[in-house]
Amino acid sequence: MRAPALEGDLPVPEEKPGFLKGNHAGAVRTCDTTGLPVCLEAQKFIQLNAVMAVVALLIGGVVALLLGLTRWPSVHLLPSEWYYRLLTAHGFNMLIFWMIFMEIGILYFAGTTLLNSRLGSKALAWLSFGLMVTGAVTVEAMVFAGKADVLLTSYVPIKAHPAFYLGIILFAVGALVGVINFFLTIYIAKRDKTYAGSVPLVVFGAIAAAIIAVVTLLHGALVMIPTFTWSMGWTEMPDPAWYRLVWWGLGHSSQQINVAAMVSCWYLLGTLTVGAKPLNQAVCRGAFVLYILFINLASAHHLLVDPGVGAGWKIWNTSYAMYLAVLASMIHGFTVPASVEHALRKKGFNKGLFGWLFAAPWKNPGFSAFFLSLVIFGFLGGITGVTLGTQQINIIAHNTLRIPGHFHATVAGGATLCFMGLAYYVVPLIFRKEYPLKALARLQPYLFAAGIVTMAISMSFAGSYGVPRRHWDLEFTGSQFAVGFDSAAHFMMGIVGVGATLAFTGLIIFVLLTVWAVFFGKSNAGKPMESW
Amino acid sequence: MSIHFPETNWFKAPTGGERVWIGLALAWCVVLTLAMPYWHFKGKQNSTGESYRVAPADFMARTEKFVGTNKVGELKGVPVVQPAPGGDAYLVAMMWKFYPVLKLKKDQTYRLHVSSLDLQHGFSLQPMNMNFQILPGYDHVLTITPTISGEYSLICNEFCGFGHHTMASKILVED
Amino acid sequence: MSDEKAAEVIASEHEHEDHKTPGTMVLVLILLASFAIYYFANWKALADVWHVR
Ligand code: HEM
Ligand SMILES: [Cu+2]
Ligand SMILES: [Cu+2]
Repeated sequence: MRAPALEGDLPVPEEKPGFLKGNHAGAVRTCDTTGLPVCLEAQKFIQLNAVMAVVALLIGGVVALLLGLTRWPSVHLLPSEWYYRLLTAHGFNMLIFWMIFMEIGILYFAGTTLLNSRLGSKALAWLSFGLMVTGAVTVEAMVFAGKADVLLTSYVPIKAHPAFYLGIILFAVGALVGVINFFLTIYIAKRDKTYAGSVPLVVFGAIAAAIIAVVTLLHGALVMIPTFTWSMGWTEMPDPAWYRLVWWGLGHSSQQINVAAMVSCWYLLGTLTVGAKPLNQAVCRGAFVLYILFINLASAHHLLVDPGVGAGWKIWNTSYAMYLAVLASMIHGFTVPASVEHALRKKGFNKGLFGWLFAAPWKNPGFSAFFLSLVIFGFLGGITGVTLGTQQINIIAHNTLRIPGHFHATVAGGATLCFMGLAYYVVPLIFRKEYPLKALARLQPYLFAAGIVTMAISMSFAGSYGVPRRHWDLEFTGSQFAVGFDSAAHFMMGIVGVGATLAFTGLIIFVLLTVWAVFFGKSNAGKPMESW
Repeated sequence: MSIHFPETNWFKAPTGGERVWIGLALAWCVVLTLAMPYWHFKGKQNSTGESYRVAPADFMARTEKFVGTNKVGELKGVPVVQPAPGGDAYLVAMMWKFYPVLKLKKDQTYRLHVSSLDLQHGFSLQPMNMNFQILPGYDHVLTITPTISGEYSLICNEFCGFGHHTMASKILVED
Repeated sequence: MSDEKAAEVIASEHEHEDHKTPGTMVLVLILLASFAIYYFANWKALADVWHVR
């Protein structure tokens, strides 16, 4: 190692950065592929959370297909009640259950394996998991029973059964307990000196995600508790404008958890698939810090055409809060592919500008999912998000299909696809099972990505013709006044259906292969995972 | 690597391409930030969020009074109302209709008050594709100038229960 | 588990020599260009609708 340039000026650490003695008291194994220590307790909870995540993805996915086929005008599958009901179910299963179960698993992984530590508390892990499962099951039961046809946002005065709000609160508290357990793990690792030096970048990103999660979940409590007491008839209704403001403190900040978790996984997958390393740690870490500092009032960009908040408030909160977080994403958008390029060039793929890109392991679904996620998130999700979230431009976008067009590029084509890529490593390394039908697994990220891209783009076009989101009938059958949309809008809605079908195909292949691998897959215990 | 521990003195300033890109990205963010205040002062389309607290019953009473004095006809049983140019106009949203139908003059400016009697609703003018939020308890004032004449649809684009997709009306704009 | 093995695998980072990533630079410049085009096209579309304050 080269001597640091400024050695004289800085305190000299006692140990070289790296692992010291673990604190697992025997409950640990060494990964046969990476040589990393895997805490057996944490491994169990990573598995439990991952299984629940995939169950939610399956429910959310089946429902998504039905929604897509309903918005396809010439199919128009579901009756209207079921469209709204399943739309509620889709939002919860995808955005809340699938993402957050997955993220708790990621936190447990980052806190233990990457820091050579045991899990903070087994009891807290059970408590967290129990609360989350109870909350999720309660919400599912209420939604599918038709007692909560209020959509994900449940904007008051629309009212659901009290158990629905209670389920959300239980789930959120459970997630908060999981996050606290993560912080406890880090504290214990530090206390027991299981490592020396600054934490690895992926852990740093996970910490950023966890900090944002705390802020988010507190907003969740702030808005859901009075809504619950109102639904019980104990208190007055929360003010609708106040509700929107605080709800989006939950709804938007949780997207920032997703982003921070996704970006951490980009770095992780970059390392696992091509051995990428960050070019400049300070830059990558600084960008995560920007996420923490500048996200909160970005909830403002959901209220840009609302009454109750003024222009000054809207502009200030959109610009200072959002654009420094945007800067952070733009920085990661450089550093992530640059680390891949650097790693591949060092392996000798040096031809021209893009020789490294062509030589990348596109047959490894961990890599293809990661890189497609990066591209979809940046080019589609990022660009549309910032544009639609511009104060005045929001007038021509609010509540049209341009909005789902944007966020399917971020949460589905971005975060979900990235987590799918992660699964292609989690299953062999944490469950120690091999994927069957590897050729199909290789194809899967492309199918899902193509479907989501098709759907997101066609939703965006339909939305720019004014087609509303969360709307069962473009024809306005039964309405007092006829409403006609441009024929191009109808055509685009057909493409939405096609894209949804394709994306569903990719999703279901992922779920089936993963379930198969986990329960019936060939064990690879005792030897390295088969390389993709 | 990103899952490994960084060297001790990892803090260093960005260099090379990274540095150039951070500079460009920051400059772009400054453009994004300045665009909004610029448009606020120079642009013609702004959502200022001007609004006042109002009880739903009071808002309905104001609307009835407005309809009473300015009614010029009827369309499918709904009053068609022509506000005075430069004056106030009222539009109330409820499950699942808008009341009344407005008749406006091109290039005249109106203070259009919108509110809801029950749930949250959406004000979505088509095919112009202009969208605003309607909340119960808030008199949302849109100071609006139709610049193109024609017959427009007004649809609700905030979910408001099972009749949501039938909630539509008209706004007529004459030369 | 042997902490020695882990310690070997987790050798700490080496400071990089010079790193050139021209391909990434081109990719992000394409991103910025598409961003600018989409962004300003939307302002243009906004300018065509009714006036409102
Ligand atoms: C197979 C993949 C998917 C398909 C086909 C799909 C399809 C759809 C459709 C058709 C809608 C309804 C749009 C509307 O009519 O307003 C929708 C809404 C939504 N989707 Fe997806 N989606 C998929 C994956 C995902 C994923 C992975 C997430 C999140 C992680 C997600 C999050 C959402 C959310 C939050 C909504 C809005 C719900 C609401 O308006 O309350 N979707 N999706
Ligand atoms: Cu409505
Ligand atoms: Cu509605």
